Amino acid sequence: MKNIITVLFCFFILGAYAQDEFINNVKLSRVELRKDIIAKGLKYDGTKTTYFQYSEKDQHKAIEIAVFLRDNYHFFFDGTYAESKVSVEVYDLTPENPNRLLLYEIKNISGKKVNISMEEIMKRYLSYGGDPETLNSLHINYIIKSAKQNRGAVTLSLGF
Amino acid sequence: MREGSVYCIIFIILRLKEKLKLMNTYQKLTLLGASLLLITSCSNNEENATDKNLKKTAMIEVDTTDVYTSNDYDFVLPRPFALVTSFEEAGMDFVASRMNDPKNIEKYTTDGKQLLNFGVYSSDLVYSIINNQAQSSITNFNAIKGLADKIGMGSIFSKEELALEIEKNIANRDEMESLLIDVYERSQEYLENNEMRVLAAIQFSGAWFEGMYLATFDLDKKEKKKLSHTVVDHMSLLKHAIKGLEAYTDRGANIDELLTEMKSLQNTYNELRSIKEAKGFPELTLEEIKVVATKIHKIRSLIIS
Repeated sequence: MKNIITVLFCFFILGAYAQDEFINNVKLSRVELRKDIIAKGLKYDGTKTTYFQYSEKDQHKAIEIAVFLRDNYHFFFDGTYAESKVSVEVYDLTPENPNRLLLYEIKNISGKKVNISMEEIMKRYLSYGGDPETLNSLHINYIIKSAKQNRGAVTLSLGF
Repeated sequence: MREGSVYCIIFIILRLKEKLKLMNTYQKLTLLGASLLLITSCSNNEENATDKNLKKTAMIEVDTTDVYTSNDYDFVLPRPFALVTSFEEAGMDFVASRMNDPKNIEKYTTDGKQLLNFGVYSSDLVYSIINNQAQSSITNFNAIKGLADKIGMGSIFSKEELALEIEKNIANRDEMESLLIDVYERSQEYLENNEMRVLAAIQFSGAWFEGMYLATFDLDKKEKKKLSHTVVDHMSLLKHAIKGLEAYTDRGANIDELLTEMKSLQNTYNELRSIKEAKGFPELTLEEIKVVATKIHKIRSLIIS
């Protein structure tokens, strides 16, 4: 019995270590993203990491950002810790609204860093006939494609 | 196996039920190992059970999902600096007596009130900084530190002597903006690491109401169109403040009353003629802004009481 418990305990320690390493790496990538923003001459305004678990089914996770608080937000996405495909879609309205417009799309953020500005999004919004004055929030949709069960994360940092 | 061990197993199963769905076989095996160890230790440590139960009742009761699996729908909580400075264009004169008295921190004995007022003092600090009020910035910063200690997150200031950096730069708006983002992120990280993610939204609620409160004085003297635009923009955040308080299950009578008033504010706003009949971006009349302001001031007095 003692031996079984010892073996299981070793498994537990190894598993916990792997989880901690993943989380620590994501946290370090957040620090790097902040440096990227400052290196571009912008001010940093916060970060949101979306954590998920890949599964055999596609999944959706969404975040909402109030965009009226700053003049021109820049959105820095980091998909370094998303091993398999994750698409990023930016909309003007909530997922429940059938009239929402797709304002920007990143086909696959996995392993990449991408940044876009509010200016670019606004141009697209105007071209669809949207009134920029009414756009006080953006809704970002992550489509996490089915893949081998593993942890993943996409970080979004805001600069202005 | 004794009664204590049975409770221990039930506790583990309930706590890990959601997480199990997300784990692969390897992770499940490691969890099984950990569970076996815990069961063994539970049956061998009955004398510790009373202590553990005491600690459990002292903990903040919140809905604790896996802190590293995000919700399907989430909101990026705006920082107090962005919240308060967004009112600058609409006009926000400095009047010291409008801020929450830092002495009030002694009154805040519940976690909910402490977190709400952590947000309130954060906005008061930004209000002082953008109006170049160094003395008031220091007293508000001390209030934030005092509340952080009470909440149990005083450690956010000890790392890398953040508190000293803030005191040194209290009159420098740019530096303070960056340092306050650090304070905010550390408090968020503290709450996330301690499985209290939901409480971050309560802190945001306090900061949001204080920003709205400070911005809604002397309404007759302000440029109505700009003020209306700012109020309408900000009212889009109220739903998140409401969700934050709803998710906090240990509200008690005071916070319940606050939540009721917040929902009433949302309903009143939704029923305003300019909102109901808006084609495009709504423009509120001065009377409508006054209706919203009166409700905001009432709720703010509940928050700081």
